[in-house]
Amino acid sequence: MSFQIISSPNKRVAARFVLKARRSLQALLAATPEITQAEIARKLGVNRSVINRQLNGLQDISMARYAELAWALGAVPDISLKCERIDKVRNILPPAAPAPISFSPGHARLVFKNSNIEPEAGNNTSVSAAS
Amino acid sequence: MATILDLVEAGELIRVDPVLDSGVQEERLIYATPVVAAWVQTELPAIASQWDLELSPAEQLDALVATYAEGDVLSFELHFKPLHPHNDGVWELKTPDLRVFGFFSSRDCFVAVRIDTAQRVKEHGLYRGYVGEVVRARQGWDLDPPPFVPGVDPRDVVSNYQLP
Repeated sequence: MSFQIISSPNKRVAARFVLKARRSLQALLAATPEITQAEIARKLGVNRSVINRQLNGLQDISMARYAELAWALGAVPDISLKCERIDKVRNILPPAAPAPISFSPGHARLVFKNSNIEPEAGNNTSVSAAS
Repeated sequence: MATILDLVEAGELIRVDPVLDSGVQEERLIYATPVVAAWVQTELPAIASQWDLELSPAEQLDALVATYAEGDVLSFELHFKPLHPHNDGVWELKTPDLRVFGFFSSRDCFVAVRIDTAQRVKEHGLYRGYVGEVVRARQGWDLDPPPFVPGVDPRDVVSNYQLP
């Protein structure tokens, strides 16, 4: 016997995406101890309590603020989407010209690319919102 | 003496289904008392966020349970926290609007005994009472030893976490 917390699949997807996005910022902050919440607040021109509430989930984060927080942490947000329907269509269609947007397995996710890492260094370190 | 599965078979506990995506392994388990299950299914859907957040408390809980069950990184004190008195081995799972009181029967296996809104818990000082309820429920089940994970070390209760 078991029970589910919410039954609406669209609400479920949204809730998990929002939490993963916030967790990606928390993970990035934890991975960069040299950057404090006070420093982020100074860079964004807001009070430190605002940053604290937003990172701890007590205040919503807009997509724009998400990008700002990522920037303040030395990262650039990137977006990838999984489109199961298109993947299925591709499986039955002949190969087409490369699309401008690529789809990859995994749900919608936000991926940070550390802007401080030189591409030629061959370091692919990144912090991902998705597992 | 009883195991967690014995309690599930007896109806004393109910498994929380995290509804993970296909292909995602359930790395951590969570069980709940019928009281918690009833509250989640009847009371929780109507509760609005105290903080006026876009995610309702029900959605917050669903997302936290999914994160927990997938084995993703949890933030110590932000998502899970040991409660006083520490010898009792009572922990809370936290969302901005909710507090889930229970214990870890083993690493990565949480038993939720009570749940309430953070606002009510704080306004009415319910922490001590809920900790006591968890301890009494656990004693009443007479679990096989060791009945719970003692102490306050996050490494002992969760396999993948980060410090605040």
